[in-house]
Amino acid sequence: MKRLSVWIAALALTCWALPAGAASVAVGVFGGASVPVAQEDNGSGSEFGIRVPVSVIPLVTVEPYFVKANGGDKSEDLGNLSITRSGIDVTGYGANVLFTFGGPMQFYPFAGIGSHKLERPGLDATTTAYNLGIGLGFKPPIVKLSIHVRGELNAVLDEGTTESSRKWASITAGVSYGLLSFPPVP
Amino acid sequence: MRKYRLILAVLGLVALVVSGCFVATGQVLVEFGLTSPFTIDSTTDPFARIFVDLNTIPDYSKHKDSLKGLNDFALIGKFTNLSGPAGALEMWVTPGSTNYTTVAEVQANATKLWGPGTIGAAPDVHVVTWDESSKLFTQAGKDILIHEAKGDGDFTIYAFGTAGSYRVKVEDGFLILVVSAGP
Repeated sequence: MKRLSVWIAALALTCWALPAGAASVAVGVFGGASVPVAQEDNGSGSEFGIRVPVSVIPLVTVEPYFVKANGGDKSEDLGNLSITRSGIDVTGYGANVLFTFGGPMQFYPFAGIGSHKLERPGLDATTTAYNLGIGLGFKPPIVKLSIHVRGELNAVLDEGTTESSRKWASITAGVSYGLLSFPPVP
Repeated sequence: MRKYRLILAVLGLVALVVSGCFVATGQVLVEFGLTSPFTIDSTTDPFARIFVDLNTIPDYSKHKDSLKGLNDFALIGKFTNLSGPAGALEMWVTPGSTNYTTVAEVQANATKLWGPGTIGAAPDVHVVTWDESSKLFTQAGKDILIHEAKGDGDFTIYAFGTAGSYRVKVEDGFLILVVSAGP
């Protein structure tokens, strides 16, 4: 049910952006570092993923995404034992809404919602994720590529409750390629 | 106009944090050391009874009033089979302090919390890891722990073997709880 609602929210966000005038669709890849926030049982890791920014009206871009992150192990000395807890791996999808400002150099705060699966031995939970962040984009003249750097905070709800969550801060860099443009640019 | 939007966003964020929203929570490690060593012996002392008072742990006391849930639980330690065949260990739990005197009584009145944690035939030594242990706790046992952690923090754990004959020493045993806490 939660998964369905996330899909519906993502679809609604995308459809909301589609009917307007000049539109563009791109596809991008990104990667970077993922750092757990206030999680004493989880370590830092890396993340990568795919984004499909759909820009329809000035200032607003809707961007479905897929992300995969590998958490780092966390070690602890207890008595004469040194114990290690495997990091949490995250696989998720959802959509962000970007509010873009600027021209070739863009600044954009963004927010979104997704469904993220958390996995490690003894943990297999899929819950709602909320995303909030800011990004910088640079679009070189002529070529259809754009380069992006983002800082983001993800809060993934704990299973079965809306009172607590696990959070990650991430810094990523990515490249997007413009696939379609309506009307076509001559 | 842009200034008002920024003020509104900042006010919204402050409201979320102050109201105890899920965004303001964190995962805190709480470790409870068991008596080390202790031995369970099917002939003389078939189970170990461990009275747990989480209030003796500073990290727990500090966050007790703001606990939101239990994220993870594990029992780790070094298990040595002193004599007997390969077998397994189980942990059962009751709320509060209880004093059952037989394994049958424990199984009739307590709730299975963890296990079975396997151990080879004597003289096998098995260090139970965090990852291994986290997969072994039961939902019913976890529910009791959540309730107790959010309540008075006082519960009793019983540990015993499942083989007919066992003599197992447990060293450096720790209960590990990862709790969600927030404002």
